[in-house]
Amino acid sequence: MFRRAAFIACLMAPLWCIAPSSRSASSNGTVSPRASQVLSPPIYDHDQRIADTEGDRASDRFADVTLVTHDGRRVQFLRDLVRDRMVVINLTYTRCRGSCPATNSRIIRLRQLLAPQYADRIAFLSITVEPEYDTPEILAKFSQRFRKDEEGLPPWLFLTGEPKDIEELRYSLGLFDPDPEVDADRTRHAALLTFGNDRTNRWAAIPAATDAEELARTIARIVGNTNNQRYAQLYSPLPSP
Amino acid sequence: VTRRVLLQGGAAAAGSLAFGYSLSQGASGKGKGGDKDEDKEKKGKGKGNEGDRPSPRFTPFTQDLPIPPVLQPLGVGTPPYRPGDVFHGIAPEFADLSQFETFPTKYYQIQMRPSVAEILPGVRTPVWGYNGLVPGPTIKARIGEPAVVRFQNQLPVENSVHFHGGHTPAHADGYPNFYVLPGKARDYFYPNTVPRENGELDFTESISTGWYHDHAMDITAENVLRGLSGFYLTYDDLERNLINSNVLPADAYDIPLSIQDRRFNPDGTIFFDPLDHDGYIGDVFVVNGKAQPRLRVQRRKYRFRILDGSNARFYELRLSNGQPFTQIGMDSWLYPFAIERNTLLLSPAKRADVIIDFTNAPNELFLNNILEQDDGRGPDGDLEERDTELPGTPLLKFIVEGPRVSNNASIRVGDALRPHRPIRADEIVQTRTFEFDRRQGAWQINNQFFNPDVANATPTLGTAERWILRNGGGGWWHPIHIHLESHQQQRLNGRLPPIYDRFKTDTTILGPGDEVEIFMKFRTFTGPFVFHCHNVEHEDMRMMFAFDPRRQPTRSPAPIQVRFP
Repeated sequence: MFRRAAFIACLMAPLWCIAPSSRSASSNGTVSPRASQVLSPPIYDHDQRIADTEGDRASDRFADVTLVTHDGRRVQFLRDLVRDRMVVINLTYTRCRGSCPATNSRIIRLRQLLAPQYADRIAFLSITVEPEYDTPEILAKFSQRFRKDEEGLPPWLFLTGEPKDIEELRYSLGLFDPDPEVDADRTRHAALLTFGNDRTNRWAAIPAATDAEELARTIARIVGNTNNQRYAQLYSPLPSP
Repeated sequence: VTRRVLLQGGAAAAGSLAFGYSLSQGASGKGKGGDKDEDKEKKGKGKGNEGDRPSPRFTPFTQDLPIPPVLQPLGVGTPPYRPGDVFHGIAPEFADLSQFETFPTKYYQIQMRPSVAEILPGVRTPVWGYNGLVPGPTIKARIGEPAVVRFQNQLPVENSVHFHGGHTPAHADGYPNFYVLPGKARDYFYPNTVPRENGELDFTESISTGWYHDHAMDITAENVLRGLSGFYLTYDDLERNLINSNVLPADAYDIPLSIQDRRFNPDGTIFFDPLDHDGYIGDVFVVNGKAQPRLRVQRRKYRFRILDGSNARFYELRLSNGQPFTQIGMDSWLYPFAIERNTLLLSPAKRADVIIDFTNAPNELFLNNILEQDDGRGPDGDLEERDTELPGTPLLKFIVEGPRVSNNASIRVGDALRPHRPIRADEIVQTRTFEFDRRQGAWQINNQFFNPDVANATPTLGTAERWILRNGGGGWWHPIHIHLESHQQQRLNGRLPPIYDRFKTDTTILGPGDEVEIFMKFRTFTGPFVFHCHNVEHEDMRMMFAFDPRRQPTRSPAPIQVRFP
């Protein structure tokens, strides 16, 4: 996983990294506080591609189990959905009355927020933790309620499978509780969004209940392929009081 | 909870060699509780296989303990570069430099860059280091001698540098999204001042043992694990006098020790799993960047600033011959008097400033960890009843050489050090309660998650507050670190804390079920700053809140008052 050193050189090479900045300092060398922290110019002149990872990847440890999508397609989780892609993963189940409705609302908003930059290059993967009940047909019907105008939005797949495969996958994604009692209680399942870019091997997970705009900024920063994708949104204005 | 103490007198050295390699082997077969075995099986079938692979074997105590070099300034008084003329600028407080400048400002430069280290003997390990070093170079300063450090990021990921235990402006405090972006630089302005109150300088708050480390949002665990941490030591006249009069050991006998646990892949790279959110536990103990090193010492008193620089591992340190430590400080601050300690409990980020007297020590002596911990939840047992095991695992071997010296430092238990000024109850203007909890696979404070744009508390500058820090349960340990200045523990579960926890600290340990009442002042610098769990995996999942001291009383929550991206 950690062979990044080799490509640092190409990362650091061009003008981009040595571009002079006159922000914060006046010409005579004295320093004035930056006038406004609120608006800043676009920070990167051009899109600098982030190098792919050269070492092993976090996804090497994901269980490559067979799953079925809400529209009945059989897929290999790692090979077909994660390898070389950008994904946002969460656990869910259709009869969930706890955290899931709020998480689904977040995903609806995130798809809108991420669509302009990512369109269909990032995918949302919702994995049921009640596969005994959540058949593809039930997932298809359930997912319909979130699908009004899909045009240009990142895809959102609901996934089911063999219970033992789902369990193996859940553990391999770190979505379990070390307390067996808590872990066995479906209503207390992890309410996280786990997101990553398998090519750059950058992953993180934060609570799904985090503010939607903050979630979008964070996902962009972790999964982005270019510095512009990753950091431009940091320079959006502060929300007004 | 039962305390298991297996006395194996005299077997320490023999046992220690066997511990050189896989600690996970050492940890098995000790008769853990049944539920934990079950856990391990569960983990094993999921995340486990790769993560539990033991590190390559090595022979311990074959490498000498490195002492990080002291960072040298590029300029003194006259800046060698234009301060603030970098992408991320400099703190607005730098405009008032003269009010902090008793001694001429020193100007430094540090690059965060990839490098290769030999942590295991004969194994090349890629690391990220400050100036390529692991640990980074030690920054030393006098109180009243400001420093500007131009941190240049030559890594592929964003960084943010936090001077832990320091007293710094918000721009330079490592706020989680006040980044140093890849290829960019930020001029960190460290006034190296003590807090100001009604125009007076509060020298009881003068800092001794700080450290600096990465604090970038969501990725601190990986950045620190790869090597981004170093010591930051400051001295005021009182402490210099203690050293010059040979009460405290001279600089040559004053050694920082950064203790970390790591796990290595077979190819020598550091193992890291970004989806393990409980807390990183390694199977190799590393001190100042070397696995289980050795240190040759004279028969005299030495001062050690011992830092738990690990992501999630706690330590309880004990000398193999049972001789006590003389503790002279906790976290950044000297105690009012020296205190005798048989063992030292350290959570991630905590420091113990101690004297070890080798005058009558055996020729070989080990610094051992006697605490048991298998996962990120924390050590076995609870804060006041910890599961320990003797003799423990050796972290560092002392080879004691030569005759007794004639110029030994004079420090003894009970000797006066730095006067302490307790915060009085009648100074408190506000009480706030923060409950640290795990819910649905995520950590939270008061049922909320960190948003860097929101100030969860807005104390008024120059006032004191009472904070109740409460562990929400689940058996997790949470070391709570509060930025900006020290806080003072008042009550631990309703009782007076032990003597060594009654003074100044920046990281309060919450064991399972604990509630700690603290007093804290908010002085000199307006926010935003953060407080958070210093199990950095928990921190990365946003077990963090912002507090934002302001000049005018303000209701919270509120948007943060300023942003320095």
